[in-house]
Amino acid sequence: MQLFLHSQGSGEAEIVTVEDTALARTLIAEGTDHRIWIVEQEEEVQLDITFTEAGIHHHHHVHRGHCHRLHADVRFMTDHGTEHKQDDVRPVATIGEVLDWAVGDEGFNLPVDKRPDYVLALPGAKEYLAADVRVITLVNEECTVHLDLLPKDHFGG
Amino acid sequence: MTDVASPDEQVLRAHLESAAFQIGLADGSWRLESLTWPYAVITVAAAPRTGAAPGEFSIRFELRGYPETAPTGCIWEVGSNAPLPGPRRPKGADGQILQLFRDNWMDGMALYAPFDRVALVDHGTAWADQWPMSKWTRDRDLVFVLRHIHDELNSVGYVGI
Repeated sequence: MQLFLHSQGSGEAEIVTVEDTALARTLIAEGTDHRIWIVEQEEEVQLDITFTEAGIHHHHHVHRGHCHRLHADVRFMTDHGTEHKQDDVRPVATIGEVLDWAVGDEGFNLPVDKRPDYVLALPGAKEYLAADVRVITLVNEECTVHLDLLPKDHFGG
Repeated sequence: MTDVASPDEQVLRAHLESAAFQIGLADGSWRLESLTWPYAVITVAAAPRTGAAPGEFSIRFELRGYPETAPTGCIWEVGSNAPLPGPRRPKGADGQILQLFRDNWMDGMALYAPFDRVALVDHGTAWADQWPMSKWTRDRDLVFVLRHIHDELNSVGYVGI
């Protein structure tokens, strides 16, 4: 079966092919302290059970890294200058979840009708981050990712 | 003799095998309807809305020269193999969706966005340079375009047709 593997710091997902009867440990390189997580369970996946026993099936999203919590540091330009806010998220979190927090009451508390007009990007990047990008693929060894909250493009005539 | 795919078709086919495209496929964000070079028809999911609101729309991409040259897309009716008529195109509360799928420019045959070849040729580089995060560059791939379209069709601005 094929899995979508989101590895810490890799920048993007990869497709890996495994046997469903193989141990989850198959995804962990020897000598690393990596763990794996799936969205359906709070705790990390046990490594010495099979993928089937772990509830991991074809085209499942699997998140791999050493960070049990991921720290998102979001920068936003306001009328008062640059502000930062931080959030801690699970290893399975998506950019969409961080964006919802960043524009919401606990983040920069943007007006409700303006919230859909904002996106997240890596500082200096050439494109926005899609909502389905996994945060774990963006964090550094210290489990942190720095993000910019930016207004979305609106194409005019 | 076996036909050998042209370099642009080979690149496109490789991109369709990428994790980014396959994730969209597996998660139901889009699906490939057909690929008859240089055309690919891809259906993109839209958020559920009350009233007249299809749950998906198809785009026919013309991909000659990909990815050196930007794709151009036309919102498409698969059944009749023709552009989707204006009244049945997606509409939005904030105007962005209307712009993207407008039928009063280029006969509605292209996407009004800086990642569409026809829009780039019609408006020029200076126009596209206003949106560096959205304009086509040769290191982009079709997923970049599909994500933009999917994002619009699943934004709160999408209200149906």
